[in-house]
Amino acid sequence: MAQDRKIILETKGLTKHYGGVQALNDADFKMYADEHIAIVGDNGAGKSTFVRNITGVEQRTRGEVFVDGEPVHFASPQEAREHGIETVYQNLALADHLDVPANIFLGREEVRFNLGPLSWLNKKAMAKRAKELLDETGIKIPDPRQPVAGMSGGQRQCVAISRAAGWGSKLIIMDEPTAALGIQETTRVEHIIRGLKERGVPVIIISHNLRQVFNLVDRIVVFRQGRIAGVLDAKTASGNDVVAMITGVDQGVHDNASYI
Amino acid sequence: MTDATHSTPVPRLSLQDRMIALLVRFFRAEWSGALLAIVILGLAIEVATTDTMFFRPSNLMTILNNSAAIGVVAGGMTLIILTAGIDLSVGSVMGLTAALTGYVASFWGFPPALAILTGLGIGLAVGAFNGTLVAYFGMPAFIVTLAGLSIWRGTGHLTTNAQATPKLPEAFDYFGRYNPFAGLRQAYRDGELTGIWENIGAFVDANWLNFFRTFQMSMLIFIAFFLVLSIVVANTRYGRYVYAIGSNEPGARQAGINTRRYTLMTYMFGSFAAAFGALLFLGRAPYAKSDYGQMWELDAIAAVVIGGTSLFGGRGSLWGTFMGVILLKLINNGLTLAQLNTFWQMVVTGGIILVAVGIDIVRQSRDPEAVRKLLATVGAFMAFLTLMTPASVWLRAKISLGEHAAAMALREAGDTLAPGHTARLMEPEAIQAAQLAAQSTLVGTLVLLVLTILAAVNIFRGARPMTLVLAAGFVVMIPVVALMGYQAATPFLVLGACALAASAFVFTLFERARSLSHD
Repeated sequence: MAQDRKIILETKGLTKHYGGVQALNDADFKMYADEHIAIVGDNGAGKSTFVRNITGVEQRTRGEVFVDGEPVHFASPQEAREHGIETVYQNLALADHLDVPANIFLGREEVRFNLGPLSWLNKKAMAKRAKELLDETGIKIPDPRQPVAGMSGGQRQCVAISRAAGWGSKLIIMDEPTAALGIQETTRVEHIIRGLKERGVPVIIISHNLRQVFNLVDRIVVFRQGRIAGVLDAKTASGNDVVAMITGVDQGVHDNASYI
Repeated sequence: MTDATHSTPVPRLSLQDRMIALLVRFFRAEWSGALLAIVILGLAIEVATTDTMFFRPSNLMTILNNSAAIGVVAGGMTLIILTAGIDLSVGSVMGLTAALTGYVASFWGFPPALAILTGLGIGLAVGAFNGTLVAYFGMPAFIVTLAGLSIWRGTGHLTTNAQATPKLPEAFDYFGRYNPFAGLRQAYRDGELTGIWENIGAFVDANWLNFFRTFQMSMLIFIAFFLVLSIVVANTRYGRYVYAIGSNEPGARQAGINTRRYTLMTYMFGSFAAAFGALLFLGRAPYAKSDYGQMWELDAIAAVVIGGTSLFGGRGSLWGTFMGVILLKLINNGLTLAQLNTFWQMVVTGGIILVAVGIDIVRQSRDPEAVRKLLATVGAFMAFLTLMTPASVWLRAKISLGEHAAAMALREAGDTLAPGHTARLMEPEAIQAAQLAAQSTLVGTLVLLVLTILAAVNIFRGARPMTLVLAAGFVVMIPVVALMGYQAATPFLVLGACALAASAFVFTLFERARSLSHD
């Protein structure tokens, strides 16, 4: 079966050392193009390091990364983006005083003619495309012409996700997409992520919220102490399995543990 | 309250609501405060002065002409501040380029066009230096340009020995006092025109004093500069990235924007604008000298801030700056009419900056109590300005009398007097005049002092009846102040009364606007 499925991202022996600290050790990871994966683990387990070394924010110490079967070595997040890997950062990276279309097209504006910095923006086309994108992802924003500074956390997160989702990207990585959101807003963002699944866009979610993880993804990759401690199937595994793997303790997790 | 609103006929209600909606939209714009202040001050000056009419075209154009040079500099500053930067060196750069442009034109025999290009090139080079340090070496803009403030002024003095040039070639007039209609008028007067041109010439000549005389290049370039720049900023990648960098620099970098390059470009443009402002200044100045443009960096920053642009970057507009510059010039004019000297103008300009920034913070908070407090503060500030008109006379008289008495006491004690002390001794007539001045202004000062104190109290506890009574008090004081011989101070009272009256209805307005936006 694995032969038919396309592998979108693969790492072999990915390792990152900061001086003497081994933040990430020999991570072997495989992701298929038709699945959503969650990365979980305690603070300092290596989740963020893993992602940062894939997207070119940091340079790996050792190991290989393959996107679409090709070996890659991104020098910067921009390069990763050009290869179709979009990241939604926890700080969202929105320009607060710009409106929704401007944020969605930030850094890749559509222009009427190209003159470097003096390229003339095609605002109409961008506004139209932005509206289409928002509709596709099912995002409702009352007035997209307003600066995003005045919008709610959920709306801002939606703008950030539709910015990442709108570029025919091969892979979207989301760092804690709902960490700062309320219940209603979280539901909305989860709805968008499910929409991406239906459209066949692979997503990696870094999350602390195990319930959400079980709801959203196919497989769960658990990190512990800089290593991949295991990969679980979200359909068959239980919350206890995941917590046991995160903590490295096989027993003693009671049912009312608040982190489930 | 609500019942009363509901019982009014529907068409009248909708008009009122439409006005409220318009008001809300107007105050969303950054430049709303500056425009409002210009219109109100203009109206007040119009009312207060009988012989000079503010809204006469020639007067408006004179203000524009005088705003041109500093306006262009402030335009460049706007972009720098929009990127969350600052440029304290523009005044020095303006002085340096003005001096060097005049220098090479006068002493090196450069043709004017080449001299002008030299000046603009120097501006770009200085901007490249500042911008590189800020963008690529990560030095704080404040420090780099503070150093530049000193370096470029010194360079200007050194290269030209701080000497003025002889009279500049006429070509420089094209950046300043040249009047495109002057040739036409001359030709008409010489009887050289025929046909339709003769009619046009006659029209220009007939309206020369009240319109065409002040139609000068300064104004045209000033307006064209802002027109072109605002279109470019609104429609190009560069303009958008300026806002993006100011909003969220790391985010802009994550989005793939070469933030360093765009920061560098912005500082280069800022210094270029300073050099261009120097040209506009030379177009109205008789000669070039390296001490031009002192304190211009502060005036430019003041204009930008008054225009509603945030010093934290990302928020603001060029038209705000345009109006900020005009407002600054207008205040200077108004205070000159009010017979206050330039030192007072500095103090008042500072006050205006505080009020402008206060307006901006309040505008963003969207809190009715804050808006009411702000309007009440404006009222109190205006009362203070009115107070200072007679109070400055009273204070000066009292101080000189006191100094005279102190110097007399020293002399009686047998000390030898320093020249400064001797200068403070007054003739009997002067003493009498001072006493008279102090006496004649005392009552007015005291009344206005009470008004100012009441207005200050009103900031913190302003029930509607009290505020309205206070506003009425302002109105009553208008003829009193005019009778005291300070007609020029009456605009302050008018403005104060308007602000206070408005502050009384802030809550009602906000309530209505909220319910409107909910519908």
